[in-house]
Order: sequence, then C-alpha cells, then structure tokens
Amino acid sequence: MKIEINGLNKVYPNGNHALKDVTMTIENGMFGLLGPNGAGKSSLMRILVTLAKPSSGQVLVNGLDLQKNRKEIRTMLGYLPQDFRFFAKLRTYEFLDYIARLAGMNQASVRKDAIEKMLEEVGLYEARNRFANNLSGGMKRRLGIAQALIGDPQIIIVDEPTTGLDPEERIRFRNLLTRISERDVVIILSTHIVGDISSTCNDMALMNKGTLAFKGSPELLINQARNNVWRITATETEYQEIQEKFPIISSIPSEEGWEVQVVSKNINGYAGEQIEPNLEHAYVNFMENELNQHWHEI
Amino acid sequence: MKTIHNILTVSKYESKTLFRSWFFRIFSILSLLFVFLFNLGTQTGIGWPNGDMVALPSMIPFINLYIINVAQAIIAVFLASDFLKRDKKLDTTEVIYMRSMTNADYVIGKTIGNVWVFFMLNLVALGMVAVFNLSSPYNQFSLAPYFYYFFLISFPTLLFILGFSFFLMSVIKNQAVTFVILLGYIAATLFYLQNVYHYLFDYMAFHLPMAFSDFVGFGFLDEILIHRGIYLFLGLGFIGLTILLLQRLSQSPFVKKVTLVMSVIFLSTGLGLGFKYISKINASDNHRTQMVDLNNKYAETPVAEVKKCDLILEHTGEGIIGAATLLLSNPTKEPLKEIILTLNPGLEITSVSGAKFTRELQILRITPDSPLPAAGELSLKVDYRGTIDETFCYLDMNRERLELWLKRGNGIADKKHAFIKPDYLLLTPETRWYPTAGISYSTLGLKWQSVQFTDFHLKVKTMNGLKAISQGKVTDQGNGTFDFAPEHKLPQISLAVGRYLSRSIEVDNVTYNLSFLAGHNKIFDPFFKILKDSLKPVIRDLRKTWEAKVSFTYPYERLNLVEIPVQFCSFSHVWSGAGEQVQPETVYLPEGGFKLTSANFAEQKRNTERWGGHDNQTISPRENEENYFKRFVNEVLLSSKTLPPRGGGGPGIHFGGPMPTQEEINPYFIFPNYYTFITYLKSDKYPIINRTVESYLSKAASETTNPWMRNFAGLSDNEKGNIALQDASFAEILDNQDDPDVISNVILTKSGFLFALMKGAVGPDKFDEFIHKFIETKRFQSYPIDVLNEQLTGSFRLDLNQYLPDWYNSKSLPGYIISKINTSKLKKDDQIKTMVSFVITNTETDPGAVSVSFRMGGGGRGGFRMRGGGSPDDNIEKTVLINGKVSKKITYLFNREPRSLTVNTFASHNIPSSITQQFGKIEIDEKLQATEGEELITYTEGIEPNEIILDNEDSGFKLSIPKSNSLIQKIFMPSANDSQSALVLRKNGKTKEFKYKGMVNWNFPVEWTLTTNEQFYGKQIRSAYYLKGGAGDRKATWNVAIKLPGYYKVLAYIPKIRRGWGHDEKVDEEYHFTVFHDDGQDNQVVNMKDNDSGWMEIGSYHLSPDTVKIELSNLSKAQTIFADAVKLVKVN
Repeated sequence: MKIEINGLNKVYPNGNHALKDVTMTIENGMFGLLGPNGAGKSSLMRILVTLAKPSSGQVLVNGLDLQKNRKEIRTMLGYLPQDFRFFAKLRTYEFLDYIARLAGMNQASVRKDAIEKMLEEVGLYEARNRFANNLSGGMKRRLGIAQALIGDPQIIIVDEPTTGLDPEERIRFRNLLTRISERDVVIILSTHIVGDISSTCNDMALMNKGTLAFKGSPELLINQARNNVWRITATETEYQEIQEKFPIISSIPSEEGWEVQVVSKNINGYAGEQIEPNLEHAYVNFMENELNQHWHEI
Repeated sequence: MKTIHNILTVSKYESKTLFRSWFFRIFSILSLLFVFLFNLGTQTGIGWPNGDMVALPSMIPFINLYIINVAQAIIAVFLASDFLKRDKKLDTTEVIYMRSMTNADYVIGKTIGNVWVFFMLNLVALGMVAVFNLSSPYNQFSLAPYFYYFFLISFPTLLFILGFSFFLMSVIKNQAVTFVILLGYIAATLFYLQNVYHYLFDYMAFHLPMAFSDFVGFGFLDEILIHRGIYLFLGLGFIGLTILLLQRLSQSPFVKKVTLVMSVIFLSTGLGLGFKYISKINASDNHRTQMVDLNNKYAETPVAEVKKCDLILEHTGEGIIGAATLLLSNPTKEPLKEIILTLNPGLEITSVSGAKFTRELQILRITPDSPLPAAGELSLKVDYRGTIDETFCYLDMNRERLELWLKRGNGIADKKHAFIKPDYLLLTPETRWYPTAGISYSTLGLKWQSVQFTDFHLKVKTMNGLKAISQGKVTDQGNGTFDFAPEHKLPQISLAVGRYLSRSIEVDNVTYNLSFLAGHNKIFDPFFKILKDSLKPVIRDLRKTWEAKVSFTYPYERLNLVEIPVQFCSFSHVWSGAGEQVQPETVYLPEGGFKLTSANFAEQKRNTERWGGHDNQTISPRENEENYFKRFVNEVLLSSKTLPPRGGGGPGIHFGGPMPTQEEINPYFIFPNYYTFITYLKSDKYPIINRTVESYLSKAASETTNPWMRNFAGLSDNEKGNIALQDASFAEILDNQDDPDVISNVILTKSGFLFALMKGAVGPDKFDEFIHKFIETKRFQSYPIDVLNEQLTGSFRLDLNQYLPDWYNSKSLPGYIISKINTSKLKKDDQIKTMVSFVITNTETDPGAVSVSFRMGGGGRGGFRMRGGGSPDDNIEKTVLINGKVSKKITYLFNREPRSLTVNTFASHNIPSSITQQFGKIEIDEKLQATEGEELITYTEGIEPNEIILDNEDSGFKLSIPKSNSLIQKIFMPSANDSQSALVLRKNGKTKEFKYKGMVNWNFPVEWTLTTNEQFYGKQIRSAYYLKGGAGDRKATWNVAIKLPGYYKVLAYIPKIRRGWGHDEKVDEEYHFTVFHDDGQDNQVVNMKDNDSGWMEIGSYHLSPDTVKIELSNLSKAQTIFADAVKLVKVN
C-alpha cells in the first residue's frame, strides 16, 4: 500500500486554513502523526477517510485518486474517530455486525467468525450482548478499535486510539496494531501520546499549523534533539527560575531539591548533564528549537 | 447486489434502533393502547356499538387507521428529524459514512428502516383490530378493506411525511425549527386546509372521502388513487432530494445523476397528479357552468308535456342502453316549433325516430316536421347509450354547497349521484337517465319548472342474478329481465339494480318491501327475532298515527325501502321539498343504516339492556323490539328534521367539529309520497306556490323544533327568513337564488304567513279540512292555481289574488306589538271559564296575520317527546288578521285553563318571530263579564304619551369597549362593534353571519354580544346585548333625546333569563347604573336576585334635553349582564 499526498490544502468556509500544501508519501506499516491541537491532523485524516474534501491537492491511494475512486478506496478503509463515544441503541455484537456488513463482509458465517474473533481480540467477547452505549469508557474505545479493524481494511486510520485505555490495554492495542502492520497495510496513528509512536511507528510526520513540519523516522527526529536534553539538579529557588526559562519535560523532587529534565541548547550555568533524548524530548525540542514555538504556548 | 446488501444492512439496523428508542416505544404503546381501548369500547360486549362500524364493516379498519395514522404521522416527524440530527452530531455516523456505499443506499436504507417499524406498528394494530372485529357480537368482518386502507392511507402518508421531514431537516438543519414547521403543517392540514381544493392538502387522508361500500367498493377510486399518488410520489421525490442533500461525499457520480433524475421525475409526477386532481375539479366546474348557460337559453321556452314514457333499459356493465318511447303533447295555446328535452350529457343519443333532433350537452332539441299545434300530440322514440355524467346533477349548487355534504359528518363517503357498475346500478331522476321535458335548472328564475304526471312503463334487462327495483307492479320475466308497470301517473321514476334480497309484508292493501344487499340482513335480523312474525299491527298502528297527523292517506299500493350504497348523496332543491332519497313509493336508505342512529339496532338493544331495568319497569323483549322498530320508523321515515351527526372530522372520531346546533332536513322523510309526488299546483306568476303549499303541509306534519335550539342558533329558521325579507321581496330573493338555506327559510316564513291569512279568512280548522280534501281530489295530476282560487272564492269568498301580488312582490312586512296580556277566571252559566285578552297592533302598513296558539290542560307534560308519531300537542290554535296601522283587542274564552299563549308572527319585522307568555295561577274575578271576539281600538304602540323608551336597537344606544393595543386580543376577540358591522346577513351567499348571535349557557362572552329572546324588551325586535359580569371596564350607554325639561322617573328594562348550569340563586345580580342629570350624576344599583324580567326603577331626576345619559357598567357578580332598554316617565 502506498498513499501519496500532493500539495494538499484545506480551507474551511470560516477561513481557517487547516492544511497548507501538505505533501508526503506514506508507505506500508505504522505511520505516526504528531502535532499540537489544531495542527491539521484531524483535517488530514478526515480527508483520507473520505469524510471531507480537500480544497486543492491530490491524494493517491495505490495510484487511485481519492476523489474519483471513493467507492474502491472506502472498501479499503478502517477508521476510528477521535471522539467516538456514542452508540445508538445497538448491542456490541450488532454494532460490529452493522459495520462488518458495510465493510463488505457479505457472507454471514464468515462475518460471524470474524466478529467473534475481533471481540476476543479486543476483550469484548463477554460484553457482546451489552448495549454499546452502556459500556465503560475503555470498552467503548475498544469497540471503536474493533470496528476500525473489522473486515481487514488495508488502510487503518486511528485518531487518539489509546485515550481512556489503561496501560495494559494500551500495550495490547499496540501489539495488535504491530501485528496487523506486518501485512500489506498502512496504519496511520494520530496521537498525543508520543510513546505510542516511538514504540510502534517506523515512519512519522509532525504537523504544525497546517503544515508538515517534519517527516521521517522517529529516530531521525530523536537525533535532532541530541545534545539538547539536560538533566538539572536544582534547588527550590533555581527550580522556580528554570520553570520560567526552559521547557520542562519532567521534574522529580530529590534530596537537594529537584531533578529536572529540560530541553534547551544550553543551560547557562545550572548544574546539569546531557542525557539521551527520547521521542518525547525530540518532539518538544522540535517545537521549541526548529519551529520556535514555545512549549507553554502550545 | 452490493446496493441491496447495503440498503438492507442500513434498514435492518435503523429499524432496530427505532424499535428500541423510548420515544417510539412509548408513542406506539400509547397508540396501541388507544386502539385497544377504542375497540374494546366499540367492538365488544362491554362496549357500545359504533353506528358507523355496525353499518359498514369497512369502517372498522378505516376508523382505526385514522387513529393510527395521525399518531404515526406525528411519531414519524420526530423520528425522521431525529435521524439527521443524530447523523449530524455524532462521530458514530462517521464510521458508517466512510464505508463504501452510495448516499442513495444509505438514505433509502434509513427510509426503509423507518417505514418498516411503522409497517409493523400497523400490522400489530390492524391485527388487534381484526381480532376484535372477528369476535365482535355486532360487527361484520370484511378483510379486503384492511389492505386497501393500509395501502391507501397509511403507506403514502408515511412515505410523504418521512420524505418531507428528511428533506426539511436537510434544508433547515435545525430539529426544533423542523418540528415546529412540520407539526404546524400537520395541524394546518387537519384543522385549516381540510377540504380546500377538494382535500388536495390532506396528505394524511384524514378528510378525504374514502368510504368503501359493500355494494360498489370505493366511489371514485381513480380520484383516490390520484390523490394518494400525489403524496406517494412527492414523498419519493423528497427522499431523492434528501439523498442529494446528504452531508456526505458522494460515492458514485452515476448514482447521483440517477437520483437527481428520479427525484425530478417523482416530484413532477406528484405535482402533475396534483395538477390533474385540481384540473379535474375545475373542468367539472367549467362543464357545469356551460350546462347552466345552455339551460338558461331555454329558461323561457314553453315546455311540452310527456304523457307517456315507455322505457326499455339494458344494463350492460359499465353502461346502459336505453330506448324511450315518448308521447308528447303541447299544453300551451301556441303551436310548438321546437321541443326541448333533457337527457344526461353522459348518455349519447344514437337515434331519434319521429322527428329531427339536435343534441348539445344535456339538451335534446326536437324539431317536429310541422309545428305541434295546441293540444297536439307527437310520438317519439329516443335511443341512447352511455353512462351518467354526474357533474350534470345539482346544477343549482355551487362547489361550496356541494362539499357541504361532506363537511356535515358524512365526511368519509364520496358523494355519488348515480352508480353504473357491472353488478350494481342506481339511477334517480336528478341524473335525467331518461329524457324529460324542459330543462333541469336555470339561474333565471323558476319559470322553467314543470312537474308532469306521466304514464310510465319500464322494462329492465340486466345480468342474471341481479334484481331490479323500480316503481309499479313488477314482473320478473327471468334471465335478468324485469317489467315495471306503475298503477298511477308519476312525476318521476328511479331504478336500482343489484344483488338485492327482499322481504315483504302486506298491511291494509299496501305491500311493504324491504330490499337489502344479500348478507346485510345480519344488521337487523338478530334484533327482530320475536317481532318479525307480528309486525302487521305495529305497522298499522304507526301508519294510523302518522296519517292522522298528516291528514292524508298513502296513495300507492306499495312502499319500497331499498338499501343503497353509502356514497349516494342528494341535495334538496329550493323548489322542492323532496331529495333523491325519497322517490314515488320508494325510500332509499343508506347502506347498513349509515349515520342513522335509530337504524343501529345493536346500539338500541344495548341501550335497553343497559338502562332498561333502571326505572323498575320490566319491558318484555317483544316490547323492546317493537320500541326500536317504532323509533326507527318515526325518526327515519316520519320526521321532517334530523339532528345531523357531528361534522368536521372523520368517521367516528370528530375533530374540531362543533356540536350541531341546528336540525337539518331529514332526507328520508316520507312526506313527498303524500304530497310532492302526488299533485302539483301550477302558477306561471308564482312558480314557488306549490313549494309553499308543500312547506305548509309538511310543517303541519312535523314536530316543533326544540326552543333551546333556537336560542343556541340565535335565530330560528323563520327569523332568518324574516331578516332576508327586511330588504327584499319574496320574488327578488327567489330570483337571486343566493343561498338555498336562506331561501328555504323565506319559503317557510312566507308560507306560514300566506296560510295564516287564508286560515284567518276561513277559520283554521275549516281551512285545513278544505285544503286536505281538495288536494285528495287532485291526485296524480297538476292543476293551475285558478282552480284552487275558484274553490276558495266559491266556498269562502276568499280571493287569493287579493293577497298573492303583495305577498310575492312587496318589500314591506307587517310588524306587531303585543301588549296588555290579561288572564282571569270567571263564572258563566255556573261554569268556571278562563278569559284571555291582549292587544295587538300592526305598526306597519302591510296587512298582517298571526297565529295564536294556547297550550291547554294539566301540567306535567313536556320533557322528552318522541319525534314524529306521538300524539299532536293539546293546542288550540286561532288566527288573527290585522290590517296595517291598526290595533285590536282580542279576547278568548276557554272552558279549560290554558297554560301559555304563543303568538307566531310569520313573515314580519318581529324577532323573535314567536312570543310565548306563560300563565301563572289565574285568579277568579267574580265581577268580570264574559266576552269573546275581536274589537278595533284606538291605535296604540303600547307606549303612554308621557313615556319615552330607548331600546338597544335605537340610535341613542352606544357601547363602549376599552381600547386595547394587544394584537392577539384584536385577532381573537372581535369586538361588539365588529360584529355589529358584520351585517344583517351577507347576501353573497358566502358568509352567513347573523347580526343576532345565539345565547350560550356557559363560557359567556366577555364583549357585548347582541342576542334575541322573548324575555327582552323590544318594539318588534326583542334584542339585548349581554356579556359576562366583570370589572366595570365595559359600558352601555343610552342617550335619550327628550323634548321637554322636567322631572322624570327613570326605569331600565332588565331581563332575567334563567340560565342553565352553574347558576347560583343566592348570588347578587347587581346592575350598576349611572344617571347623568341636571344636578350631576347619580350611581344606583339594582339587584335582580329576587326580581323577574321587567322595568326596574332607578330613580327620579330633573332632566333637560341635553343632559340625559344613562350608563350601565359590567361591574357585577352576576353571570351575565344584559343591556336592553330604558324608559323615562314624565312626572307631573
């Protein structure tokens, strides 16, 4: 699978320019989409799942124009929207069945097996006869994931899939996606949880204010942050100052006062040492130093 | 395949969702519960039989679908708009929207899902109804209507309202606004648009006439299909538009194009059908205008007489083939060059032998080879074939009047004037199914009118197995051939052919035949198990009582009671008292006794079961059967008037329809068989004269209207006639033909007046005896008015020509003042007698005549009286003639004590037109001399020379209403001034708003309302304004013009009307008067708590010409305040 995005623009009737000339290619495997709120991630995804039309530009899916071949492309899609909470008066099983049918699973027995397997996989088998709107938040999220994955879609687009999941569920979900990503599929994962991307994605994009700010592997992004991540040991007074001066990634109280991780090119005389960056650091670094967008403004 | 799969998927889960929504559940449980209770109440032994359902089995699914349909139309609006709202808001929809399916798949799936749940609701409801129906002790079961009504009512309604809701929601995108619009639309179609453009806007088929007859099925199936098609296609079109407007990126440009094309096709088909529907009506209106115009050309042409009419009629399924051999003669003194005949325009003339002919629409012009000399005869054979064009019938009615029939509670039955179907046929004279002489109607007066007595003979050939019913002795010649030979000359004949069964009984040389559709005996058989073998004495007794009242004997050898389809509809013409339901020796009764309360024997039986034991009287089952048989005959055949069923809504359930406050003419009243079809009084000068005789005679045979009906309606029929006569002569009113209701009221009052004149001249009893005997000698013929006049002049020296010209042409009316009514007892020849005297003054120049009737005898009578049949009132009737500008003192002497006196003033200025005075205990006066008779006295208007009276009808009377800026108040509360300017009576025939409103017993008006009552003061118009007692913000003012200053006693006439419900005798009824006099103003309170109607003294004051003003305020705890009249009496 291959998704080519060329010069994509989206301007809403209220003048909001949500996507500005976004061009990139997404290939098989997990693709992470990172960026602050309003960066254009959701707009991009809504275009990719044919819910919205781009103002200009082109998306090719395996060479097929997204605008002209909705019928074919829609059969390839699985989608989990960000705010997926409400279900009509349907039972868990029925809802999945509804989606599976629309996903083209015409044969009843095949569909039944697939649904049951999927329910097992997301741990909802026991809840299959409960009304979907009575499920707990985490269960609803899992049902959302299940409906995105049912019918073996070739393009899976998930928006904030792990919000509301407990750590164990998150890991299980990650593993599920990783397993699927080994097939000939594209999984686009938009998230705030940087950890989700670093542990699963081999490619990613960072969006900011409608533009594509970074595209490449997570390692590349992390490399950019090398030498810019510090651990400072600070007194209470210093800690107050540091909070004013640097974006803080984490702060742990210690015997001397505080142990603070910051992202910065230098730390101007505070007592500290450079540490190995992770994706989280890299993201903050990128926003702070490459885009001059300050952490606390984000 | 994929499309179907998608549609089914969406619809499956849509319907699942809907079934599970609380809104649908609650609403459908409520509607099912309602249907359950309704059927429990109407179809089971614990309930009450519903007349419509008993009469017509198809009414059972019909009425139930009404309930279901209204309920589901409302649920559908909520659900449909909810679907798009749900779609708009929630991300759940996104995971469905991004699946591979077309927008059409989705919307169609949604629609089918919606329709499916309602289909299930209908199925459950109708299934329940069917179970009730099958186990009902009174109702018959007919399966087919269940399906017809579902597909004609429910299905198009649903598709339309769903499509329309989807569409509006897609455009407006606001659920609340969509609701308001849709519910407003539903309310508008239910309450306001109703029958506009013949029910065009009635998408729910709530008012659309759709009765399904056991005889013929639907009346106008094509119209119903067009009408329902409109909404079906518009619904589909709107669904198409919804697909196009769906907020989802479309998947297939091809499907989009197809959808667009289909939407356009559906919408234009819907609109096209709507257009066709209207243009059909317009075309029929135009066609009718053409026919009237054509008739008008021949309005003055002399009419030939049809002496003999030999008819051979073949019933060929959807048409008839007729051959009429006519013997025509020339009754005029001039030779006839051309003879005008009328034949229904739907019947094509194939040949005429005996003369040349031309045909245009309904008119057949016959040109004899040589002009037909006076009294000359011409034999003619006319062959024709075709079907009946019903638009030709009732050319005298405008569309509004034609549709009135449907409004008056017959709303469910489409009106048909004739039937020609393969297994049923009904032809009445109104259709002109055989050639008749002259024209059928003209807007140019009544001169065209001609009633002829013809020697008829009819031979009918129909399908084997069908039975024909017509006038005369019948011979069944086998193979569907029937021969009818009437024993007498008849003015008209009619024919019914169908799967009839008959029962006969002969009583006193008259054979009574009851013919009904095979199977319909179930409606009456179970209720006359005992009586059926002993009917003879009951019928004999009924006939005897009735004929004693009508003073004629039945002239025919048989009476056919024939059941006909429910759709049959007839109107009465101004010029005749007979509708089409009554024909010579025949009465056509509606299918199953539809809308005839007393024909609902199941209900009658139920009533006696329920209430029979209450008064400790045991009525035997036989008596019971006899009672409801008698009630049926008395109410259906022997009553001139009937209380119409509540109108306005559909069958069984009545929506916004007012309680009937006026009785209507009973179309099954048998009276035409005693007069109208028996004889005809001809007059070229006064073509209405026969109708007035008929009206008089029929009135004599009728019960009197309940007086409370008059007070509800505000005016009696007589008074409405009088109001019309205030500024037009009888002749003018007849010529204008504005409003048949007004005309019939004028005829009533004018007829009463003419006969009072004649009775006054001859003596009431003598005259009645004479006129009845005279008419018996004129049976089966028409005769000129001169013949009657010669008799009257010869026997009583009464020359009608003295009266008729003024009676017909004069614009002025007499007007009476009745005063000084005195009663006393006296001794004469050792007997106690009662003497009653009063003074009557005719204040106008026209000569007048009034009838004075005394109700005699012991108390306790009254209360409920059986309609018709019952013994005549114990009344003594007198007639008084009184010339213009004359006062007379009238004195009567009675052996018994009269209880009340009623003066009926007929055509006059008086309102109320009849005045009743109840007598209390009459004291004995030993000194009084017994006198009796009329005495001319000095002219008096009942007012003393030193008195000045100002009535609310006079110009010095004014009302004041607080000025209000509230628009709502302006719209919903028309002020008294508005209603005053709302005229006496609109003459364009459109609004019939009368100046005088009815008086109600509850919910009293808050604004001054003008009404009439005999308890009021009035020279001739006894009227007053009344309103609810209030806070003193409304005032009535009398500005009295006096010539001489001086000391005056001021009195006010305050009526005390005994009000009905909720009246508390203990409450003060104070009247606050303010008198403006020379020395300022004076407030006085008169309390009416313990007073009766009369002149109440307010006080005595010095008054000069420009100061006199008397004001009454509505400040009072009394239920109602009346503003009537004030009187100033100069004190020396």
